[in-house]
Amino acid sequence: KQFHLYKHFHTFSVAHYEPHHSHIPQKPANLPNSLDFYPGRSSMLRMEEYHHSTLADDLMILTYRDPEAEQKFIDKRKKKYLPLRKSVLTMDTNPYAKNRPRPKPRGNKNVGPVPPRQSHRTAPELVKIVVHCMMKQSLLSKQHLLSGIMALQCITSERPTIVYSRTDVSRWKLRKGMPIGCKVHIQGPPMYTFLDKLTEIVLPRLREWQGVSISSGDQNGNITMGFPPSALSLFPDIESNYDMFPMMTGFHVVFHTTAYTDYEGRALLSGFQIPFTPGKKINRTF
Amino acid sequence: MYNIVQPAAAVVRIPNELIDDSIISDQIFRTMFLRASLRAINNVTSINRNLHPILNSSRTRIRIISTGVFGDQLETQKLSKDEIKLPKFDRIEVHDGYRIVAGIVLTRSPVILRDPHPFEREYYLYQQRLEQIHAAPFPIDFYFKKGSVAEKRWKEKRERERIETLSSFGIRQIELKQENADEETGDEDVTIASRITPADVNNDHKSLDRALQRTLYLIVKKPRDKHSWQFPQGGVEKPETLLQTATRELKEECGDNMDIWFVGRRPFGYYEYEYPSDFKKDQMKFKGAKVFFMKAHIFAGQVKVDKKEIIDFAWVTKQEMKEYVHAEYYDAVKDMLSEL
Repeated sequence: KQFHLYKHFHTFSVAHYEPHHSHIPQKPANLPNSLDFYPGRSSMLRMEEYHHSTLADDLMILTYRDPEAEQKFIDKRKKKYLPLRKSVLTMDTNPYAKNRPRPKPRGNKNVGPVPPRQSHRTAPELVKIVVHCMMKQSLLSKQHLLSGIMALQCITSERPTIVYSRTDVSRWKLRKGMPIGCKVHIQGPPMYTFLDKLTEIVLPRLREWQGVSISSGDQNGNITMGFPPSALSLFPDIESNYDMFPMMTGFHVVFHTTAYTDYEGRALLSGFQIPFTPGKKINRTF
Repeated sequence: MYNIVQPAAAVVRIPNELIDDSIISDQIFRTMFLRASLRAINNVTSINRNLHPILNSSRTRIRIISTGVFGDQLETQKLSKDEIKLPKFDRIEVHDGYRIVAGIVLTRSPVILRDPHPFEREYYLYQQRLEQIHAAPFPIDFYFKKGSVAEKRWKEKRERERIETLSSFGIRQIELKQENADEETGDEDVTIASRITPADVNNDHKSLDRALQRTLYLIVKKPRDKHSWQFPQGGVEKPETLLQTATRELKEECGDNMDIWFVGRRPFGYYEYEYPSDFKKDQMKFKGAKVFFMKAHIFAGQVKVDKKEIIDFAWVTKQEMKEYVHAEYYDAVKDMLSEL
């Protein structure tokens, strides 16, 4: 009988080693001679400077909770997003749970963030803006997407990506995987210049606009607003060569903030001069 | 980086049901720093026959209402009928013999962007250059109709700019620049204002147009020798909230001629100090005062001094305040103020 010595040996073309936990993978250096070079900021940003000099201090005062209210708020959020195992409920005191990731929540509920203890660093900040444009005309012809893409690019100075449909709706002749719109995520300098344009030029000129809906928000401080097609023509980038955009479409703007409640998100945005409709009474959210 | 530490034992803890503890955030923490004087506290007895003994804790009830930011309902405690009839000086809020006072930090935020650091400026110029080099070529056909006047003007402008950049290397003279300037100013009537105003040049500390890059704070002068300059403040009277006291005191002391917005209903700083042993406020003796500072912004108007309680005022930056205000007061108050 032959004894197969090499039966349990696995052969690899390249030896694979797991990176050590202390290894921090770094992005390749952003050098001007490389193809993927992206220049850094080229000027001071008015909105950002205003946020750091004035707004952040005021927001810290406005969003402050006294210790009892803070504990109540955190407990409510923890209860809302329940953990899988009961042992996690004692995670703060349980030494075995320290530095371990939080397990998934119980049941089929959404995962939600539990806010940290408040400090001067947890005052709400604007993280990114997502401008999204859904074009029904693209169902007829994909060429119609182009006007939306160009418009978003002119407004935000970033190249938008195409959004593909996720479901089939036979009524609208929509099938899964069809390109239906475009979106662009902007952070940092382009975000602040876009915000500047909005608050200085576009919003004041919107006709019959009462402000952002007071009920807008995803319960976690991210506020959305919509614009009609006429709003596109108010942007100076598009106003200057209006003829090149044959098809004007409306779009949504989502403000992603570090706030943990809609109230705080609204406080931040109103600090940036975005008005909200005074409308129905809003209950305490904490 | 920042360790949130319990305040020093010198801080007086006011019971929770009566006042919201604002001793949490790091910035607020630093303002909770107390320098109680080491002078012995005198045994105070009521001097005025009409008054209740102030230090008798069973009789005095503290009614500071510092409402939560998220509360729409102001939790004002109602005064009983007898209490409403009390004369003004009987409605003064007192705690442990200290007068409860609302102070106002009235700020004029920066009006223009700050001057960039020379390194910042160089960095931005460098990045602009890199952007120009790496940018996609400008699509003239997209922005200008072929053969239009606008297209012609744009091409001329480009040519001029090209010559300018070359001339900066000493190749050609910049004669065309002046022509350029005349044309452009003819179209627009916009003049860019100077960053340095006449108030800056004259160093007028009463003007709100001074130091446009910096934050200015209002300080007022009281008719006394020592500790004369301070933030406007006034004692809380039942059944007022801190905010109500602050607005009232500001109106009384600095006039009604200003457009002001208070940041929430919550104080953002605290200072406790003792009165000199012979000092009497409104014919009553107090141990000292506990000041809760409310932040406010001014958008328009100017201070009008009432000449009775306040004889002078000034709008100063954080650094300039050191020259006006007593060193102890500045120490207690400086952490509330912005560096910019």
